This record gives sequence, C-alpha cells and structure tokens, in this order.
Amino acid sequence: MKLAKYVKFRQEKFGGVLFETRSEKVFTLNPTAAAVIREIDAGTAEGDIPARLQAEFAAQDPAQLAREAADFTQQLRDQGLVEG
Amino acid sequence: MADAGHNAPPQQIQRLGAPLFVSWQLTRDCDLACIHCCTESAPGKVMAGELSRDEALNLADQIIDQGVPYAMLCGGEPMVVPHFLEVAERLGRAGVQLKIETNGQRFNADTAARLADLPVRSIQISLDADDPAIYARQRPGASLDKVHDACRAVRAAGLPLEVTFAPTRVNIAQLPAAIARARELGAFRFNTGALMRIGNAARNWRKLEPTDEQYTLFRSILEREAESGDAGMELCYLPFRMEDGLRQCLAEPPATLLVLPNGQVKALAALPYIVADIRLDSLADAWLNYRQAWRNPALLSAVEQAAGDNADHATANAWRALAVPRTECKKGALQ
Repeated sequence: MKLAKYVKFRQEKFGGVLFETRSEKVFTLNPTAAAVIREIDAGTAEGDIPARLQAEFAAQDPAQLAREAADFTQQLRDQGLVEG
Repeated sequence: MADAGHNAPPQQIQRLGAPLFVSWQLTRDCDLACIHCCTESAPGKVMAGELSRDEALNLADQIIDQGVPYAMLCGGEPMVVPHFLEVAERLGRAGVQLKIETNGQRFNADTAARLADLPVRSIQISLDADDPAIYARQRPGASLDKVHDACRAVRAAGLPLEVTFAPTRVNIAQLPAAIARARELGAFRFNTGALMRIGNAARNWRKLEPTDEQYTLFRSILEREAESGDAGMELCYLPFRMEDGLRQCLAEPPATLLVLPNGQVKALAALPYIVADIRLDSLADAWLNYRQAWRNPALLSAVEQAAGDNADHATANAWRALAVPRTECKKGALQ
C-alpha cells in the first residue's frame, strides 16, 4: 500500500495534512492518523502498522489503536487516497 | 465586520506551518494580448524588476525546503521565460507536484517530453472557442491549431490535460463546441466560470461582460453537461462568480501564496494587497505575513466589500502594501 499518485502528506504540529492535488482537496489529520500515513509512506506493511503505532502511542489501548488504524486505512481506500 | 483576531472562527491556515500551494506568475510577458487577460499581459509587457533566474531558483529551493506540496507556474506566459523549464525541473525533481498554465502557442512535443519525467498534476491550456476566427478575436495573434497540437502533445506524453474557458460576449456561444473538443482531446477537467472583472477584462468590461441571457444559457449548458454523466471529463464551474469565491475565502482563506513576477506576494488575486516581498522576506516569513494579513480587519473588510461589488476587482493589479506588523507577526504566528 502506498499513497496515491496525486496525494501528498505533510507533517504539522497538530498532526498532518493530506493534499489530494488532482481534486485539490485537503484533509487534516490528527496525530494518530498522521502516524498511520507516515508508516504507509515508509513502506510499512499494513498488518504491521498497529504494532508500530503502539510503540509511538504507548498510553493508548492497543485494541482501540488497531481498530482506529484499520478504520482510517479503510477510509483512505474509500476516498482513493491510497493504492495497492 | 468580524475582527478575526478575537471573535472569528479559527482559520485552518493559522495552524499550517507553510503554504499548501504556491501560485507563481513567472512573468507578465506574453506572446498574446488577450482582450480579457486578468494579469494585463501582452508581448513585451515584462514587469519592472521580475525575478532573475538565480532568484527564481532560490525561490524554488525555498518552496522545496518549506515542504510545499503543490505549485503552479503561470504568467503571463511561462514558456516565454528562459528559465521556465529549469524552475519546473528543480521543483519537480524534489517531489513538488506541478500545474502549468499555458496558452499553448509554444508548447510542443519536446516540452511535453521534458515535463513527462516530473510529477505533473496537470498542464492547463486555454481553449476558449472551437472556431479559429472567434478564438483569434478573443486572443489576438493566437492559433487554435497550435492549441490543439499542444493539447495532443500533452496527452501523447502521458501528461494530464485540463482546459480553461473564459466566457466573454465574443466567445460564450462556443461553449458546447469547446466542451466537445476538450473531450476529444482527452482533457480530464474543463474549468470555467463567470468572467473575472480584473485586468483587461475590467478595462473592456462593457464590451466583454456577457449579458444575463447569455449567462443563463451558459449555466444551463454546463448543468446539462454535468448531469449527462460523462465521467471522462469533469466540468468545474463552481463557485461560478468570483464574488462567491471571495465569500468562501472569508470563511476559509486558501493556504496559497500568490507570487508575482517581481517577487511580491499578494493576499488574493482579486485584491491589490501585497503582504510580502520575496526579495526581502523569506518564503517562511511571507507565509507568516500572509496568515497575519487574514487576521487584519482592513483585508477582511476589503474582501467583504469586493464580494459584494465586482467593480472593486478592477483595481486588483494596482498593488499596495498591506500594513502587516511583521515583528509582532513573527512572534505570535506559530501556535
């Protein structure tokens, strides 16, 4: 899985932004969502993302973190923001 | 009027560390003298003090360093600038997605081949008519054949093509034929909207402004085409009038820096306010000034006024500096 061709990500203090330049739509991301995008950008396999997030967000419930990551990844697919 | 510094809702731009989009007019010079040109471009109308090649490449480096994801190179006609491709390559090779606006008169297969290696989001070409004589009336000196060739070169190189149609009293009836031609040429998007009362269009307003009846028919054609369900090409015409776009900007200012050929940075295309000068300010400082400007009651009031009266846009190219308290801005801007 990788970001779609016309999708750019930028880290921000509040989390991050995804910019789909073809439609010129901007999506603001909270810190968890931004971390998921960073992992996708880094080439982390989808199944490994929850474990990577747990290392970064140790205070959060691992099951909930995994659910949030899965939901967010599905949203990215539904919106055509990722491919593969 | 709301004081954005106190009671207005938070603006997204105040949270962003850098612009998301830089719209960069490389020159005011152009090889055409279009009767409606919003930048008042024409052959030989280079602006005093346009950025040199070295200054332009420096700005490109700042765009890269600031993490700006998307930039548009336009003019005037960007292809008359000797370092146009060099700037595009500097940006594109660093991953900045590019949109290039051209009149298509000089764009050929060689240009397309050079750009094809870069992350080009689109090449936008003006296609205001399908009748060569009408096209040449709107854009004196232009060849419609060259425009079609340019569009074909874009597609042959695998680059995304979008076209733009600026309606005037001269060409507005050409809309259906232009839409059909754009589809045939493989455009993914067709951009239009009401004529903007800026630059040459403002000067020639009485002769160029389409009548209400013409606009009614124009809108009905666009709506019918949009509803026809042809997914091959998106019709993009909303907000239809610039005034509606300005009201949207008031609600949520764009995360865009508009850089003029001489390096000055405008708050908004439709208004004359300058918020920074790239020769004096870094791009990072220009962004801070821009954010501060959108909290400035003088700017907000001017946008509100322009949103209510399109005659206000006529002075959009008579720039004046907006008083931005720069030191204060730099201290307080990052949240």
